[in-house]
Amino acid sequence: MLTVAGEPTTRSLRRATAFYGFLLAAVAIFSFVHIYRYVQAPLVYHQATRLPSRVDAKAKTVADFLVYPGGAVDGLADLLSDQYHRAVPGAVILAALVVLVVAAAAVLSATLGLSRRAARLLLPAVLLMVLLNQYVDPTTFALSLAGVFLGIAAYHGLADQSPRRRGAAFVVLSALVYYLVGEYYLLFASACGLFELLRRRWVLGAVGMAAAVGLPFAGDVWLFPLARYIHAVPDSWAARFLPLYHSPWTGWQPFVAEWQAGDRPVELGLSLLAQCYVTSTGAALLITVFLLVLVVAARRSRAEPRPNASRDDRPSGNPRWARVRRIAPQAILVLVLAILPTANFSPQRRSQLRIDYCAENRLWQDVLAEAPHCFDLYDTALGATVNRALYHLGLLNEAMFRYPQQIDTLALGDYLKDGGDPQLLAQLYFQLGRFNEAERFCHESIETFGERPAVLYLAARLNIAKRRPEAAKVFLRRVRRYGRYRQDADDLLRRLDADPMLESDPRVTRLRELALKDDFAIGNQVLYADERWLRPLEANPSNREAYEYLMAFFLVSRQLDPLIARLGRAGDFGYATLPRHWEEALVLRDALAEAETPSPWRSHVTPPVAAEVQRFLVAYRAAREAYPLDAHAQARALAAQYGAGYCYYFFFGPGGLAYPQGGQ
Amino acid sequence: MIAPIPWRLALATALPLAAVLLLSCTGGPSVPDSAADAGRPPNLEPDYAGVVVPPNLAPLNFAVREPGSHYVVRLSGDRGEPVAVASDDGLMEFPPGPWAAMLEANRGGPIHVDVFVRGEDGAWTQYRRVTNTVAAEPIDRYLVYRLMWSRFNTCGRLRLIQRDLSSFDETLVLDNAGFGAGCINCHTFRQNDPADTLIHTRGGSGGSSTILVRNGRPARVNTVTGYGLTGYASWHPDGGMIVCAVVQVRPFVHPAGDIVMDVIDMDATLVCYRTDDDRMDVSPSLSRKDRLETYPCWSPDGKYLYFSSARKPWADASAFPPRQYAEVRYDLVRVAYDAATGTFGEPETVLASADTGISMTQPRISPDGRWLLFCGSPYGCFPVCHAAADLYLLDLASGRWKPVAANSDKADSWHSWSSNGRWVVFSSKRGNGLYARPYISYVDPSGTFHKALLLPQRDPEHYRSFVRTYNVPELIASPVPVEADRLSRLVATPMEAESRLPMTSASPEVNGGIRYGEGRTP
Repeated sequence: MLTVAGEPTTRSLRRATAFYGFLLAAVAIFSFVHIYRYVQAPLVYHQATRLPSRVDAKAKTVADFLVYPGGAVDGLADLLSDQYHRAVPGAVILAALVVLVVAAAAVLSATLGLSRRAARLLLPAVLLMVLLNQYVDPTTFALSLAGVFLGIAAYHGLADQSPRRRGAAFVVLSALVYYLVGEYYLLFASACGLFELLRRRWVLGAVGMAAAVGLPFAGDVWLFPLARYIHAVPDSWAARFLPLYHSPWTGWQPFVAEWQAGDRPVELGLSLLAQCYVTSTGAALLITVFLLVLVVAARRSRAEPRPNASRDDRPSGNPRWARVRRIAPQAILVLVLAILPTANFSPQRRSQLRIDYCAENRLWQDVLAEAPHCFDLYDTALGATVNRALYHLGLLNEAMFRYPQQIDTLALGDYLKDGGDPQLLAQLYFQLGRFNEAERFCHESIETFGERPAVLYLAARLNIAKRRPEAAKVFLRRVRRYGRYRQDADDLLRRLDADPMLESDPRVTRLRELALKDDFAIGNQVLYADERWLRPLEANPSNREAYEYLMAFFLVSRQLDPLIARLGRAGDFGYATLPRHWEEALVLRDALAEAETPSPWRSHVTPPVAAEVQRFLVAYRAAREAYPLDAHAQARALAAQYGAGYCYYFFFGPGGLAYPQGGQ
Repeated sequence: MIAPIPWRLALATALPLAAVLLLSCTGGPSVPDSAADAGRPPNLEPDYAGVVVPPNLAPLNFAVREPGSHYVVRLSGDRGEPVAVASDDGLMEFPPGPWAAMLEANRGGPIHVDVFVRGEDGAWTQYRRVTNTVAAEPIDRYLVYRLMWSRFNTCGRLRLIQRDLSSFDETLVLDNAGFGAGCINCHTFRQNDPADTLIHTRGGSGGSSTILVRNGRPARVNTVTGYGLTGYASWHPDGGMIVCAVVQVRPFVHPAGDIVMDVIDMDATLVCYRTDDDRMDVSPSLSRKDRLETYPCWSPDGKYLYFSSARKPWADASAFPPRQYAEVRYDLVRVAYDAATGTFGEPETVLASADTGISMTQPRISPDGRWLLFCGSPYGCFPVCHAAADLYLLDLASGRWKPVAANSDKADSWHSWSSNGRWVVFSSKRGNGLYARPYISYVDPSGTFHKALLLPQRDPEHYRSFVRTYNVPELIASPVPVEADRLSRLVATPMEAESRLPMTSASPEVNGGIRYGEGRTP
């Protein structure tokens, strides 16, 4: 049984237990509310980049996990993470993990002879919440941390045993902890080593420190060199932090070499940090500090025996004030630690993720609803996703300028150069019927950004469209590892077994009709601008998406003449009336040319739109007179009333009701 | 007290392990006494029916794709003890020891596969017996291949893996994560012997590199030329020279049709690297200005160098892709080599694309010098992109050539002979059309290819959801003698690499005074 040193009386033990229970309950409630209300477990699931291993109860699957260090935790983490796509169970599991880590820290603290009432026990919980705020799946980290804390506690329980027994226990615990948590063993061994060094037990201390680095290194290099590759396990933070994977040097050599070459030291430093995964390294550092604090505090507590807590020995003076002095630092620390996760949370980042999540789940209305909440983070990818939502809701040419627009939002010319995920291009090309290019970008996305469910699913749909059912099945079997996608993947697999080409599915038939017919060769570049939509339109004149995107592109690139020249095809796509932005473009073109543009759709322009354009032009002239050399001031003057219209974009860009900055 | 906890935990861990061990040591499953005849052979995945198996190959684990609740498979031969395995899900994994004993006992003879399936109603069905043949000749024990994504235009994680064919063990030869995610593009061994190995890498932290392993000792050497980096290579049998292709390889995309990513050599030539004195040179016979020369391959006696050669139809390489890309078809060409003087003779065409109608690349000659196995595709130098790519066998004695029987309707390419000439391993996209897998085919003395078998894996369903491609499989007799870590360090260490063959160097003359390099794109 674990005993709490320094708290011998029944009363103080009761108090400590009550406080401890209260602490855990508070942590549980606070974590659940924060995760459920703010972070949202499905977004953690959505953001996960790691392909889960097969999750089933078969003995072989379990055995797969048990054959390498850390596999047990990985297996359990996969099992738990698979539930995060559901909001409530996900939040419950994540909150339970936070509680688990706090409980393990409390056990460790108690074994070290420290109070379980100390607010520092909250530090690992706060760290987990901060990771969650950044949408880093903390499951493996939390489980491993709990294992490490309990391992240290078990070792420290042998503090008064002979060196031989402690040495034997260290060997046994090392094997167990390394087997369970893999490279997180580093924390266990270094804490044990430090503990021994502080007690001047030099041999055991040195062994602990050496084992901290040596065992994971030996495991990676000699004992289980391919375990991570075979099980598709990404390098852990410890591997990257030290870096232990295959060699202590190769991971750093590129940076060291470039640093020595003297090129761009600042940028290299930043990329070095990025390479080490700042969040994970930061987490490792904080946990190391936490452990150091515990071990050193334990040492001090042993060196300076706690004053007897009996009433007779309490300091004289006002007991209430003394109590306040004792409690105040703890209370302040609790307050700070409680505020930190909330303060660290970014609603905009969540909105950005939610847009991606909603687009993946084809919740187009939700995409548009979320978009105004993250205009500050607006970039090409976000703009392109919003445009996809607008298209699917039939609003692309009706309301696109309610949202910020730039040429690249549609053309995506610099998107890849800026490090964008090719998956977005793959989605757009797939919808357009440019299957080969979609396939290329799909695979480049997988290769560069990893296997994620959306891109794997897209790869499956692409191969179905390209009449390669066996290749589609490979991706579907891959994607079914994700609980969120399992049922859909299984359904599709069954349908492919019954009808390999899915000839009976009208959606697949429609997709195949969009496919480009005539081959040509394009070099290693993205097709720019209008050619992207012209080719599919030539291949299939009824390709509505190609037509609407082409027209939107003419609007965004301010090419009014080609836009008006193609208005004649609007009838082919069932337009009885023109979308608002086309009407605005027609009237604007007339106003700029000071003559009516010949178009069969000229008469379809609705009077309110024509009047609004005229009002805008009057206001525009007035703004120019008021601020002759200040385009920003002109834009600000007109944004509130006209910011969602095409005319405003035409003169000022980038548009968007809540995004009034602009000016050319 | 805390002390007992580790012991309890140790006990808790040991007991289940002991139980598992005990269970695994019990005798194999029994075959049902009576079963209804299915009247047809079972569906096995992978298709291991009617194949010729190397006597030293790991177990051919497979899945029985028949409905049922319990499965029993019995292997038997004319000699030795039968092996039986059972499962509830149809995934059959054979124990390595009895499997190896059965193959050894039945060398040169048949082994029979009897499949029994118990239906939901409890009744057993026996499928028609499948018979495979164990070859008398073993295959080289190790297979080295690149394991990579289905590459398009990015270079993600890429590993050079070494598989022990007698088991399922894989070891790492080189990982591009160790040198800044460059490309590991070629690995070449001298006559299946990894003691002499050449590995090329492109990009990465240490820059593009050539790693030469000579007599088991690795070194980074400079093979940079004014025309580009060396690529595909072939060791002269005496080990003193390696002929390398220097190619200006460019990818491009087909927006429609079966081919997505295509690759073309805008320019290509062959250069010689002398391993003994670390020297590079070029011969006019290997480097004609109006030709694209690539894929060198020495004859086993070292008297001829075979390679692929095509007329370069464009003069101006600035337009890319050139509109004539589909007109490029490679001939099979050879030049005589005089080892005493170190000189090459004049090129002679072995097979002309004008006659065959296909582009012939990747020539590989059998160790006995009798057969030349090449890859034929509609055009170009990168057959793996073409579904129509097939393997062809040229009889060097008679000059007759034919497609091999092991071909499929998907791309078959990147082939390698075993050192005894009885086995060929190649990459094939059969199965799903997208990811290449390694196939092994037995070649009998008459040059007949037998049904190819997929490289077996411990998990019979391994390939069903595996999204990596097996590229450039090469058979070797022993493991690569250098550790991955050491190779990685060599590649990652930057090296000053001045061009060994600058374009402006005194170029040899060929065909009546055409200067080498004239008109080539820098």
